[in-house]
Formats: sequence, structure tokens, C-alpha cells
Amino acid sequence: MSPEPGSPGDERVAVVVSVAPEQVDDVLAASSGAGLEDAEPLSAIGVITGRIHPSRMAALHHLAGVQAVEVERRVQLPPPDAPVQ
Amino acid sequence: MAGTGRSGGTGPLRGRPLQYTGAYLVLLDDDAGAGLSALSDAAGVGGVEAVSDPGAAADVLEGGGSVLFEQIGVAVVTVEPDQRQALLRAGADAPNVLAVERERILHALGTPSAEYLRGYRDGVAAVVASSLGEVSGVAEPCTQAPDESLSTWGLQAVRALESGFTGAGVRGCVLDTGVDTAHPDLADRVVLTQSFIPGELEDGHGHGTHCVGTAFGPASPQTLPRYGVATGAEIYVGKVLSDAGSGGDRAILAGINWAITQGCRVISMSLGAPTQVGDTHSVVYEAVAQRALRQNTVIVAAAGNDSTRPVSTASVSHPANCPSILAVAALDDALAVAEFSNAGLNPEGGQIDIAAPGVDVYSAWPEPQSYLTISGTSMATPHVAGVVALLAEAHPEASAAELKDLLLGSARRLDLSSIDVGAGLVQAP
Repeated sequence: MSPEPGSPGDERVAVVVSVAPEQVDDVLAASSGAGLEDAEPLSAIGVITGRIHPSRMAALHHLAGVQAVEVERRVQLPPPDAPVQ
Repeated sequence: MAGTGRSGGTGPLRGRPLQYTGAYLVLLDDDAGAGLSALSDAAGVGGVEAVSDPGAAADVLEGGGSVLFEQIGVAVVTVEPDQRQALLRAGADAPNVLAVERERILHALGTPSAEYLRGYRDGVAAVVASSLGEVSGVAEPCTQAPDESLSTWGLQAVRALESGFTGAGVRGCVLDTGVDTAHPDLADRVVLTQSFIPGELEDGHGHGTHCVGTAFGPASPQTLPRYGVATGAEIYVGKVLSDAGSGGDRAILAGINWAITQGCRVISMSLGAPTQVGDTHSVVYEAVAQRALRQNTVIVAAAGNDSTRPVSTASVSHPANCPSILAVAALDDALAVAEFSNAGLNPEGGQIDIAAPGVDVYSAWPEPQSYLTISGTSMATPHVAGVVALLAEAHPEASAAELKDLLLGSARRLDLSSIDVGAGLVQAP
């Protein structure tokens, strides 16, 4: 059982996975076996998002239909009272 | 500078429909005397005073007289209505008269004579340029504070006011901190919202509401000036950034997926993460942007605000650095690059594609503040998104790739490096 997302023991990272659009369902079905958790398919754009332990990212990348696996980036806006946004 | 509005200036309303005085500009060849004789013979224009002192010229013109500026070979003549046709015929027929054009008003009515003189100096320049075939297409910097009493300087600069299109029937999406759905200017315009941030629905930051206002705000806001480009577009708003202004790729990509499934023709993303020179773009986002284009959706994103010009420039942010996402730089009201605006320092999509107004941009802000003036490539980006919506209405059969081409091809060239402004200043169709 994995720790709760974001808890101190949780080493998983959020990832975004590009897959061939016609293979989203196939990759989704196989992804949990490759270690991807909390998987969410975005069918229109051929993406699956989720969380995975870093040690298993290579295995996920090698699943048939997976084109790219990237660790999620974060964006941060300035506070509302900043003159440049 | 943050504030709640801007006072009106005294400068020209760039892009306002042309207005004319009752006088005419006559471009003469080197033999000005022969040209004036032709005007006298053909149209009964007489009493043209040769002047070199602008003050004297203003006095003559304000008294209903006509003047000749010998140095530039241009006469400004005042004629009675029944002389106008003859004057125009003289322009077409007389060999020493190269062109006749109505004098344009480029400044507000009732301005002092110095202003008036600058106006007809500009008019003269336009006659000379058109007569000699010198259509440069290069935007002239504006050296005066713009008059924003009726519309923002940004709308004037992108020529949104003259556009015959409003984005009617076009769905446009802003992915940001959400929108104030109770804002009186926007409440009736927002068709659908969707939050991808657990537990948050409305715009608790303000950034999203500002961007929605710029791209799609109404033609007649509760309080002037008008600040929205595509006033007739159907507004879709995805909340992909929290009220604290943060968000991750998963929420952003979910928002893009949602906007495409809703049939939005353009997605405006005033968000990004800094990059370094040498960084490559996201393979995932590039694939997503290509798939969006194939499904008729153009994605526009902010180039980022990490530069401190002239000391240093920073590279275009993620995800604007993807080849298939349009990266938008920010300009000020003199059409200079904003000091914070990132530059195209990386190959393979890391270039600036186009530039738009992004300094002192007035737009909507969540109630009770209602409005705010702020700066950033975040403010430039929705100007471009709004113009894409206008283009989508103007060219309903155009694919997303064709809309991109139309957008970039119609940009107004600037006398600036394409590293900083790409194709130039975005222009409404």
C-alpha cells in the first residue's frame, strides 16, 4: 500500500505521459502493472497523467504505445498585488 | 504599476476610424509654381501662401486660407464644396500635381495649433509615402500617452476597434486561475467553467479574470474603457491554477483536453515555468499541441517575464517554448519590448512567435475591485487569443494551422528584433 500522496513517506512523482491517441485505453490498462497510480486518461490529447515511483519510470516508458514520460512541472504566478504577472 | 485605472491622455487614438478636416493635401512635383497654377486654373484655388514658420501656417489655415510648404512640396488648401471635384480632377490630370488627398485628423478635435500641425505633418507624410509607393508596414512608435477614455491602448494597438468581427459563434478558452462568474461585465458571457483544482471553483486570485477580460470582455462594459478583444466570443474558462496561483502539468493538460472536447478554437494560457538557455521543450506538450491543431484548436501561451532588460534576457518559458504553441511577447504603449519580456534564445520552438500589448493593461478583476491595470506577458497573451477568435469568425473554414498562418502573416512588423517580438504586433482582421 503506497503512502498518501504528498505524505512524508511518499516518494512517488507526478508524471505526464504522451501516448498514441488510439492506444490510450491499451496503455491505461497496462499502466498499473508498470507502476503508474492514480492514472487519469486525457483521450482527446493522447495523455495519461498519474504518479509513479521514480525507479519505475523507465518501465513505464517502455510500455507499447508510450511516447514520452515527463515529471510534472509546476507553474507559479506572482501574488495578485504584483505589478508584473 | 498596479492600479485601478488610467487617466486619459491627450495623444491620438491610434486605430480610430479616419476623420477629415475640410482641407486637402496636395503633393506637388519640383515645379511647385506650375502645380499651383494648375490648381488655380483647374479648380480656382488661389491665394496659396508659401510659409516656413509653422505658427504662421496654423494662423493661415485656421483663418480658412491655403498654404504651401515649399521644402516638402506640399500645399494644404481649403476649398469650397463645389471646388472639390475639380481639385481632385486636377490631382489626377495635372502633370505637376502628384496627388490630392483629404486632410486627416490624427488628433483630437479642438487641440492646440501645435497638435494640429503635427496632425497634418503626419498627413503629409502619409500622402508622400502613398504617392511614392512607400508602404513600409512598420509601426511607428507612439511617443505620447494613449487616450484610454473609451478603449484601452491595447485594443487600439491591435486594431480591435475597427474589426468587423467579434468572435461571434467562436468558442474561446482561458486556462488560468478561473474567472469571477459574478463580474457584471462577464457574467452573461461565460458559457461554461470547469475547475481542475480540487476544492476551488471561482477565481480567488484575479489573474484569470483579467485574462478573460482582455481576450473576450464585452463591447460595452459597465464602466469604460472597453478592454476586451473578441466581444462576441463564447467564453469557456478552465481553472488550472489555484487561488495561490500555482498549478501543475496534470491540471493544465486536463484543461487543454477539456477545452478541445468543448470545441474551443483557441486556448489562452498565461502561465509558464522558467527555462534556461539550452533547455529543450516538453515532448508531451508538443505532441498535445500538434493534436490540438489537428482538432482545430490553437494554443497561445505567455513567453514569460524573467528578463530584466537591458541587463539580461531570459529564454521563453515552458510550455510556450513548444514549436506548435504560439509564444507571446509583451510590448509597451510605445511599442517597445517590455523590460521583463522573455526572448527567443533557444532553437526548436523556443522562439517568440508574436507580440502584443503587455504593459499597463487595464482589464476586469474580481469584485468588488472590478478593474485593475497590470503588466506581463500574461496580459499580452489574451490579446492574441482574442484576435485568433476574430480570425476564426472571419475564416470559418480555416483549419487551426491556417489560423496560425493568418495570425502571424497579418502581424504588423516592428522595427525590433524577431528574437524579441517574432512576427510583430498582433493585428485584428
